[in-house]
Formats: sequence, C-alpha cells, structure tokens
Amino acid sequence: MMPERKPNLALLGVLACVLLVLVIFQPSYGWRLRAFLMPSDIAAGAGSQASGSAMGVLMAQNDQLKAQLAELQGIAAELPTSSPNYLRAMVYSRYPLNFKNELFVDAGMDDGVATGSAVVYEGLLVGRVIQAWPHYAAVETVFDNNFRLPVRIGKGGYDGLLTGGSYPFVASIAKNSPVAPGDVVMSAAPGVPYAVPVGIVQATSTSPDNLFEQATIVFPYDINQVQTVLIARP
Amino acid sequence: MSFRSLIALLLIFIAASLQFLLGSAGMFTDLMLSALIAFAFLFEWPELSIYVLVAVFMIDWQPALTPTLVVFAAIPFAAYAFRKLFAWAPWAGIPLMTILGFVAFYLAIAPGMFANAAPSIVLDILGALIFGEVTFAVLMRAER
Repeated sequence: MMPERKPNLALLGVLACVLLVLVIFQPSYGWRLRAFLMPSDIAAGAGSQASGSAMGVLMAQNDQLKAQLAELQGIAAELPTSSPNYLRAMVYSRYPLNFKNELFVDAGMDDGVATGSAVVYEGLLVGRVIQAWPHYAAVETVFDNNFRLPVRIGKGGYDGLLTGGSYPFVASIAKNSPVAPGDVVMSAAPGVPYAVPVGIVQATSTSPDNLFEQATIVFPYDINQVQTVLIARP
Repeated sequence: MSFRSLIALLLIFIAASLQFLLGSAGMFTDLMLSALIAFAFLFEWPELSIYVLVAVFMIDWQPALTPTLVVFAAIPFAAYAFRKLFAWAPWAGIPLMTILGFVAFYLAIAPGMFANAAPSIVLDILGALIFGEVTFAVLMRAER
C-alpha cells in the first residue's frame, strides 16, 4: 500500500501548491472559471431551440444589428467614455455566498477609486465602495444587510435611513410625514453625491416600535444582471 | 487519480455551477460547502485539501483571502476531525456536521442573519443536507 501512496502524496502536494499559488496570486483565473460555470445569457440557450423559420428571422435581425453596431462604434469613438465626475468600471464577480451582497469591479485606487465612493448604475445609486486595491474595488450594494445610508424622500425631502438587505427599506421616517407610494428615495449622505435616486417608495407602514414610519422600496433593475457601473470620483 | 476522485471533482463543479446559477437568480446556497463536508467523511486529509483548494479557487471573489474563505476552508477539516475523533457512520455524521458546520459558518460570518433571515438559513441548510447525502451516495456508488 505505501509504495502506491507516496507518488499520490507527491502529486497531491504539487497540485496543492499550484492551487495555492492560483488562489493567492492569480485569483482572476478563478473568476474566469466562475464566469464559465455561470452562463451569463441563459436566453441564448433558449434561442438555440427556436424553429427554423424563427432562426432565419433572428439571423436577419442579427445582421441588421451588426450593421448598426458597426455604425455606432464609429460614432462612439468620438464620444467621451464617461462623465468627468464618474469612472466606468466593469463588474468582475459577485459575493458567492448567502451572507453579503457585494460586487467586485475592475477599477481601483490607481484609477481614483476611494473607499466610500458612490456606485451608480443607470443613474441609480446601487452601493458604495467598501474596500479598494490598486486595480480593483469591492462594492457593498443596497441589498447587503450591513448597508445604511441617510436618504431623503419625495418632493418634501423627508429624512430617513435606507436600511439594506434582501428587501431594502427606509426606516426612521418621522411619523405623519406625507410619504406616499411613488415618491423617489434619494441619497443625502456626506461623501455621496446629493440627490442621486436610489429607488421608488412602494408602500409605507408604521415601524414595529410605533415611533416612526418606514417605507419599502422598489428598484427598476436586477442587481444580479448589472455588468457595468459608474463610480463617483472623490 | 482514481475514478472516485474524478467523480468528486465533477461533483464540486456541479455544486459550483448550481450555486452560481442559483445565486445569479437571487437564490443563494452553499452547495460546495455541503459537498466538502461529505468529502470529509470519505477522503483522507491530503485529498480533502485538494478539493477544498479547488473550491476556494472557484469561490474566491477578490484578490485577497477573506475571513469568509478561511472559515469556509476550515469547516471541512473540522468535519474530518469529527470523523476521526468519533467515527460516526457517514450517513449520520454528514447531516450532523452539515447542520453544525452551516450554523458555525453563519455564526462566524454573519450572526445577524439568524435574526434577520432565519428562513433563508433554514432553506440553505435543508438544501445542503439533501446535496450532502446525494454526494455521499454518488461517491459510494463510484467506489463499487
């Protein structure tokens, strides 16, 4: 038995070393593997099952879109890539477990990203940078249980505290404030650009301790589909 | 590398695919952890180390080892220690260590979730119990 185990142990040792080096020094290979295991476009799979005639229509549309893309790429080369106040970043990976809701983006301190910077998607505040490395940054989203942000609500600007989680809500709204469904919730915290919309009030209720009002929020995006964000420059 | 080792690797990839796919739909599970706890009752520590590292490599989400990952990697070894110390039958030891491991994991990383999202934790553990037992059954068949 022993002569069989020795080469196995050597092989396992080498494998362990290789994996350790990858984990510590080249984690980006792991992110690529994750991207491979998690197909981003499930709809593409459904499209492959389309009937022959529908496929012909899709191919024609595809050709048209390619032509439009080529035309627009020519124009895009002439446009600024992002606002001077914001920096565009791609989402690399997401927190993979049940505990947090964080994004990992491809811009870092060397690009001007600082801890606490606001992160915006389609004009809506989705989170804040909680840690920055030279070329990467981690973003805590409004769907994280630890996320807290002072906000104002509606035209009256009623104060509240955005409380993150799977179902974010605004807490600590003064009782009898005329907050109504449809009112916009916007940022009002130091370090974050003022009045960046976060979401829309869905419903209001009295807090469990009966001292305040609280409001549930709806978001017009799916955080799991976010591929690119803008990060506010400090 | 034995047939059972290949199946174990395949099971990790299946667990990862399911975990990432469900996560992208907003349903977070820890199937990789449940698979690793089952592995702890079937493999010796050198091979278990490889599977843990493969899982950490895939689950690592930023260029630094986070406390989450360290706890994640430690739990299968705790299950392995339990197996060596108490020699429970795997069919009983795997569910027990899955429950204990997941509770310890949540307590270490986000204790507040017990108050805020207890149903989500219970669902996560139920899914892990099922996946752990399936993993064990598949590997036992692969051994024959």
